[in-house]
Amino acid sequence: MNSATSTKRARLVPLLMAGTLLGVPIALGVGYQLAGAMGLVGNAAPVELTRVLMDGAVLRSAALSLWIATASTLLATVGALAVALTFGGSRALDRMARRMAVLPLPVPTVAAAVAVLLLLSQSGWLSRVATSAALVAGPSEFPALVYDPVAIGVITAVVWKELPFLLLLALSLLSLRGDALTDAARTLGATRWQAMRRVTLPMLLRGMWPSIIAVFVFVLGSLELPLVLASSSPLALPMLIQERRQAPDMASHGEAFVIALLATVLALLAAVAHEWLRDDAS
Amino acid sequence: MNARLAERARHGVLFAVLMAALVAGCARSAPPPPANDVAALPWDSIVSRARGTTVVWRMWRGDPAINAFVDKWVAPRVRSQYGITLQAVSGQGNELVDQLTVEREAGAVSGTASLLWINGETFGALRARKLLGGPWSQVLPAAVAVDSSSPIISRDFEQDPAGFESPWGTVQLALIYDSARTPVPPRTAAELSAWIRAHPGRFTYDQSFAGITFLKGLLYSLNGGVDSFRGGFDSTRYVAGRTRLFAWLDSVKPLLWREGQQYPPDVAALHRLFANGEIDFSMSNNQNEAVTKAMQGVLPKTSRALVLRDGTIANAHFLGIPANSPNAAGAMVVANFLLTPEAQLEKQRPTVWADGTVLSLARIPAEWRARFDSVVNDPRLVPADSLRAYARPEVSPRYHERLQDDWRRMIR
Amino acid sequence: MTARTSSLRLLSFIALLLFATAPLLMLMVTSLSRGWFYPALLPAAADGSAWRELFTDAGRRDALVNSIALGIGTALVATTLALPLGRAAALSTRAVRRSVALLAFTAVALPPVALGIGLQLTVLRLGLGGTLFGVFLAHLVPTLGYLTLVFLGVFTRWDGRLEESAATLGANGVTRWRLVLLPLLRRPIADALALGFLVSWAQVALTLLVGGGAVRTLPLDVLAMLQAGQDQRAAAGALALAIPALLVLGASRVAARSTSAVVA
Repeated sequence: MNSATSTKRARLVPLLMAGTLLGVPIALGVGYQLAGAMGLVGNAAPVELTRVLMDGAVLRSAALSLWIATASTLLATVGALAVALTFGGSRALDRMARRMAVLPLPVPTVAAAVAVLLLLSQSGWLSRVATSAALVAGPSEFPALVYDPVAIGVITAVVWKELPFLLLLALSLLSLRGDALTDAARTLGATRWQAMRRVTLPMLLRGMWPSIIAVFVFVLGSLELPLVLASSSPLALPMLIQERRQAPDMASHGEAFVIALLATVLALLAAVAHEWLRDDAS
Repeated sequence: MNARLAERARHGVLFAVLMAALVAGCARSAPPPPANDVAALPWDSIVSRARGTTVVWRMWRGDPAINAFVDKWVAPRVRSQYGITLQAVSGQGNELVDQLTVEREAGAVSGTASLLWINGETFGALRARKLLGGPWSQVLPAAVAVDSSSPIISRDFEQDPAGFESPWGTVQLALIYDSARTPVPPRTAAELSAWIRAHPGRFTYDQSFAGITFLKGLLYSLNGGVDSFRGGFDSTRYVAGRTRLFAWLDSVKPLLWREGQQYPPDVAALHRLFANGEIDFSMSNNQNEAVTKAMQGVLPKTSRALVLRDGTIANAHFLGIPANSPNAAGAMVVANFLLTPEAQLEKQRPTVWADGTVLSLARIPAEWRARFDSVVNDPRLVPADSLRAYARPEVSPRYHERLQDDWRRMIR
Repeated sequence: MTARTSSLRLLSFIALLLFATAPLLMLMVTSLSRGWFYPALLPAAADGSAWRELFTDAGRRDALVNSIALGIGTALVATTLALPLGRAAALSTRAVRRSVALLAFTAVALPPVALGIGLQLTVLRLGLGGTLFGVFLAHLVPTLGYLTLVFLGVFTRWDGRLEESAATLGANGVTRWRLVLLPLLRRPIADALALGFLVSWAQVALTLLVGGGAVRTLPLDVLAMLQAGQDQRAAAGALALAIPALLVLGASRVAARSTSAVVA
């Protein structure tokens, strides 16, 4: 076999494999959404795309979901960076802190959501502590952290679960490239703070961008988080899809497919951004 | 070389034969007999057909007490008495309509479920799309004891079951309050409205069945009673009624929990708020939930139920058999078992479910009457005559659908 | 380090400790409490019924068994498929690598509700509606995505020199795999199996939609308990979800540390 055929094979084989293993299910999933939106399958009636996408309820849901994803990803990133830079050393306290911070990593999202509900609701544990400390007189005086329009409860649950993930990445980036760069900066006369701001942080962020997008898109599409913790008005986007899907009339089913397509498009945009940044990062 | 070729040819033929056999074996078998055909057989032969089979029952699995009744009491008994393996899986309402429609679209020869727990709008939707098998419920031997004179049982949201569904329980909406916190609760809609104004932030309702049923009850009482809405769906009457109801809701909205901006997603979340003292009222479609949930530790022990004197909605729930049911005979035997005095009594115990019976006490054997009396007259439950006095039947399911839709769009 | 920064560090450490452990502790206490209402800070008595029921109740047990079976099956199959795919893609051109990575990430990024709606119809047409196998196929999609990305990364950073030396010394394909590649891959494979298990273990929307209510898994059970107002059982289920996840991650780390191979 000469090099020309072997290169062609090297190109075709992975593409064929990826095409079958990944491409086919994705195409089926998205294809059926399209078919459903056109009223061909899924007990749905065809709906007008623009009407659904311009519907106030849909726009508000999309806005809420985007807010939740943005805020929680931002906080998780900042938190991960803070922990990585504060406890990045080799002392006992540092190692213990890192090990603990990583604890929530494998916990399934639904478990995290239940825990946060029990802790943060107006009659949850934190509220009971506040009542015992005479800070509040009753549940209604405790701030509304779940079922609230700002989705604080959801954001907390996400940060709890995703901070460890981003932290591990930050730590590995620091161990791979951190010291060499900061040493170089310091020899060139930069202070610790300057080195951190101008060298370390940008390096970390560049390496973390793909994962930040991964977290963002995961939160955007999660059903269990808003199901347990989020408000009824507006509904997060995955919840809106479910609600329309389970409504009695076929028009709502068609709408559910269209909104699902919207969510898919958002995810695809994120996938493209992820791939573009991933190549830059490596 | 020739021997090698011959060997290959032999393998090829063997392979082809095996494939053919596989394909033939997987070929579509004949569809199972529909419910109305099975119903035409004598009961004994239905029972013997059902023996050794599995019945998949799609029902609401949201209450562990009901699940325990079905899994731990009903299932072993239908196994020992009829040799049927009962498998209860989750499925209710629109989900069922959707799934059965999609199964038919996909060309499935037989579906997965043999028995369905349905009522009201679900029944209407399934019937309209011809997804239910039947008629069959008239052949059940235990059906003779059913209280067919009751408007709640003989009509399902004003629809005639017509043998396409068999009744198996009744419930009535009740408000739940804590006798320790609220010693003198409001008893009418007007008193409730005054109470809400006097106690801002301490009342709300959920977005799911219980909440919409509560709203429907208010719809009746604010618009001259349920008789204004009988006789099918009337859009003009609906809109007039809705206007008055929403005016009432708008007037109390800022005084509700979270100023009426957020509503608990389901009745469990409502119970949680109530139990933890965030609000002073909960509600349930089952009038005895205050008792059963207090026993489970979900509600405080001082919880009590009340039915509003303007009337609260009572309805029955039914069992249906899908048109593509793989085991109509088994489903009928199970439905019949659930109609026996034994099963109806067990279901009504406060320790089990406290679900109302569909049987007429006059038509069951005398020895059962006494047992039913002692269960029904349990002091912890809402008194039976109160229930009867304030019960209002359901009207056309279209009212429920429209109300839910409009509530989501206009109030939430 | 000054006293102030060191006490600040200590405070941060304590805050971190509380933040990381509070949710799990809350689950633990709730799972053992019956009728624990506001404003009680601690439950009146410990009640182990929810935990007992997890193993004695047939329905809960089925959910647990389904979750374990799905997790192990998905992990094994996805690893077996993603390893050669990742390797082939990594050894190929940059364009191929990027396309495969894009596909893999899309599989991961698609909202499970959106993907689930579509896959549900597919599975129904295949006659697998409401079956464990149908749900397994659905779980494979995001898992394959994750693991392909993992192996793509592993093989992109791969140092092929050991393999080349083995080749020049006369080892054929199979021997190279057995004696050089697989030992070097012990750690990535362990990580992949762990990740694959965790992805399937935590699935909610896909199981809900593709299983159509007929397939019960532990996360769905937890949600059902919560929606039935059974906080104690929901907390026990949530911990039952969390603990094996923590163990699986711990085990894979131990396996990784005990490997004696050198990875470039």
